[in-house]
Amino acid sequence: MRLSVLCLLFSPALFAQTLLEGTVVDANGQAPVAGAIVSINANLGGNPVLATTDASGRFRASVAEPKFFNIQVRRNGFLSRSVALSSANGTLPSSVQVELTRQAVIAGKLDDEDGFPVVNALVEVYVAGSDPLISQGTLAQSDDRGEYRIANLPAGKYYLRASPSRLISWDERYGPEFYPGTLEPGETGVIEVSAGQERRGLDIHFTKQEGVTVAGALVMPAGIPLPGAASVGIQSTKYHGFSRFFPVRPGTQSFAIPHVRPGTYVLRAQSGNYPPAAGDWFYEQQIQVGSSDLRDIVIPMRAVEPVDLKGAVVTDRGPAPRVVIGLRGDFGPVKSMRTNEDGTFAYSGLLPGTYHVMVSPDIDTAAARVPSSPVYPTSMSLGDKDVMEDGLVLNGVAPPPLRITLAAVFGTLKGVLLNSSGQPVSGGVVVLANTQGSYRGTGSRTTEKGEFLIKAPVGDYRVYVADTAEQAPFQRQDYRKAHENDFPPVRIVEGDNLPLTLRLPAAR
Amino acid sequence: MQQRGLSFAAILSCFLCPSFARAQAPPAIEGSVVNSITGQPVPDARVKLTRPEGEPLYTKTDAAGHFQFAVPQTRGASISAERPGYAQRPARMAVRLGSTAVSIQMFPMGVIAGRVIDPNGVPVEGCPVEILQKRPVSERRPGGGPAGQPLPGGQYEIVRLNAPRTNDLGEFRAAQLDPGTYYVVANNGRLNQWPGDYRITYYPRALDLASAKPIELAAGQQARADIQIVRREGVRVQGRLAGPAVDSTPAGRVRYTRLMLVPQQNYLVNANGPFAMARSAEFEFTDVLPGSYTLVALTSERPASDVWGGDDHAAFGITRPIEIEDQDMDGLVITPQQLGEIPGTITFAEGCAPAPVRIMVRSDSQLGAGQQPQAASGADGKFVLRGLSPGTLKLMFTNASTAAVPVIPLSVRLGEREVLKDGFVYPFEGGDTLKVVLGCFSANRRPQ
Repeated sequence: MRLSVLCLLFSPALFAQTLLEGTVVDANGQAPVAGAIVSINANLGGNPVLATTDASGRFRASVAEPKFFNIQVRRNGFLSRSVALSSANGTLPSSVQVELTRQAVIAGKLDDEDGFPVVNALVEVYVAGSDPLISQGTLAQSDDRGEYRIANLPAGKYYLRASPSRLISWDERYGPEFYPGTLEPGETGVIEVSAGQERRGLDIHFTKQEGVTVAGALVMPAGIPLPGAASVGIQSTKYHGFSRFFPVRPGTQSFAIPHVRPGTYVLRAQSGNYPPAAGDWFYEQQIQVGSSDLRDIVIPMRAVEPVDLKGAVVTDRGPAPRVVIGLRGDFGPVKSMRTNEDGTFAYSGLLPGTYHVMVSPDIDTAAARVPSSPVYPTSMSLGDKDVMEDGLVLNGVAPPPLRITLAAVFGTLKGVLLNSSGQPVSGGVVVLANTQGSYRGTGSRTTEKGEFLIKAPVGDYRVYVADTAEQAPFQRQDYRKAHENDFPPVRIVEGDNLPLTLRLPAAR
Repeated sequence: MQQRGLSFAAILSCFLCPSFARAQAPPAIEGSVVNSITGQPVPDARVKLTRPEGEPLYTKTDAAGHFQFAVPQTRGASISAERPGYAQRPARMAVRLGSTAVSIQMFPMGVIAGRVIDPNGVPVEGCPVEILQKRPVSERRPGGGPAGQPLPGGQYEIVRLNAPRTNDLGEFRAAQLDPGTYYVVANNGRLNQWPGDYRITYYPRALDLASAKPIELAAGQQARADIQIVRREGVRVQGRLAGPAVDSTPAGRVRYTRLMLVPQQNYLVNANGPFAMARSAEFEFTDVLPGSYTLVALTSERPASDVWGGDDHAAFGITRPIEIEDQDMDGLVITPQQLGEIPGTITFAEGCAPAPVRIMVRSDSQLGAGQQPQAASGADGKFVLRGLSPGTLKLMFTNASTAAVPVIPLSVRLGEREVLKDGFVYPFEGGDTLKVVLGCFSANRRPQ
């Protein structure tokens, strides 16, 4: 490794090098953390530089002189932590200290009515109280003994849900369940863990339920036979990631899905593979399942025909800067496109489905050039339909133009984030969220001096703050509701705004 | 009303009485579940009867391993059984009309469990642990599971079975393993997430298969395999790209090149060697262990307007053997070639009905992961593979009309070379085409 670093230092083709030193400590007690892997990402993209901490929790690494970089620290037993550093004022910090918070762990065992261990079940953790449910993003699979273990949890309250796909394929009367054995989350299933706590014995005993039968038929246009081996899939709209598929009987084109539990589902009929391709026949429809059989469902099949989509990006005060428009569909990669100089764009060959529209700055990675103004959509409409929240639905018919409006008038807010002792908080997150309409936030990571700088459209905002980027669930409505009065609201006016000092409360 | 119901029940019970049933109905379905190694009965196994019409039925075996379903035999019914620690072979057994009893063989399966720690003794979390089985080539069954990577000598092959991930304690557990010889490998699952001198490590602390310790697993046995990641410094390999891939990017298009050093003795599908991204035509690999590698380069191209790369396609590539010594290597010049297409023809062995076939490509290079295209043969058996990524490619075939009728690859020739077993290096010089011969299963399920 030493040899490699020397080579880099003397390589004229590469950037100048700088030595970065730091310490990793336990946030609870400040004890050094040995054996942590420190990953340093300089500038935009590129391979990270990796180092490990010694017995004193210290690390050092030689990195290309960056304008800003991101340090991610991982150590089992702790939550990983990211810290952003910058040399915007011309100097890089000579050393950095990263505090790691101990993880919480949830573990248990799954079995069924025969007392058999439930193997290969997907066990997922949701944030308790969130509606719609928000996955914590941490999951595990049960082993051959039915045991699971979910680590890397921040302190908090959670629901636990297990999807026993292999057990269901054995007996379809089984289905996903929440701890301690319910179909829906509830108070009895709330699991609270503190930092460093390991809770075992969170077992689920799966039980069979008869449910109801969902049955019907596929209908093709007159004179056109249903091609291929068609099937109908059923998937919960609330809990993604688990589908059951059933063949369609040739001739009658009918289907029957037994043992469906109450809930809202999407029925997906398809003549070929999923995702569908041009020329296939396909249709999706939503159904509500209660305590009685649902029969005589008619699914009108439609040919999968690609369509073109044109649109324009404007601002409420003149031409828009060039931006990147991304369409995230139900399947396949995100399709992206840079807008033309006049703000227009045109997609071709989009398959039917729901697409969520993403708008991002036109970042030139090679030149490390970031546009001066943030990209902040205020509305998106397809014809006269607002598609900002729910996305746009394409169904094979030529759609009207997509119009995206961006905010044009911005104000700048500088400030500093302090902890309860008045010390600057490095790597924290400050977010301004609009007080009107659906959630739109714009924010900043704090520097090693606790400083932040946010450029936001003029308007009224609530202020939300988190100690680390890993613990910043600002997308969650319940989180925002719980924390909306942590700090006074702010009004952003055009140009520079008065600096803001934010102090974290003592117990967080 | 009640009177009429009782009368109907009486008539029904008469029809269902044992003597009537014996005279008119086919026999009930019964059988036993036995341990395939010891021949002993397997009690408390659960048994499922699947029928073409109606819901499945369930029961359990008694202390003598016996089970019975009180329904008449029907055409197309099948039975499967489960018990923790066992696997049924075959996984489903058809019920033959007129048979007196079904015997289900359950194989006791083994487990390999262990722990992975890094060179400092810290548990490694999220590490995929590859379970490799050393298997005689003679035991390979047509259409029976994944093909292996041949070992030197040709008598044995290495089959990659599964790759459980370690938890936060560094622990892993691989179950449902047949008796046999295994190697266990701690892989670097997340590219660029380990320090460069941490190495993919074979149990217990080996850098390659030849130095690794095999685990002999008996039926139903549980073995332990603790691994400590080996730390070893490597050398630097530096070079530049040349040729049309970097000299002539068309207007309105964007190109970028990724490179990889794939160890030539590579038994791990997703564990290739160092990875580099060419910037301004220059590339650099760091911390490369000395050895024999294949350098694979892939130049991808997309419209400049497609900022996030959803429409990437393979444009240029090269696959070239390279020996890395124990000192730094500079001045390597790589000239990716334009990638084209490979036409081919499928014929069926005598006695097999021709069918449309889907041709899939598997590459040993991670560069092509998720991008390798598929092709389908036409009525004349012809197909064309397009958009292939460089690397050593192997072809796989399925029946495009129904997966229930498998096809058996008997021969794949590229020009004059047989490439079914070992694949072929792409891109290659010249205009060779593929000639594929496929077999099928006869009516009695024997390959032909």
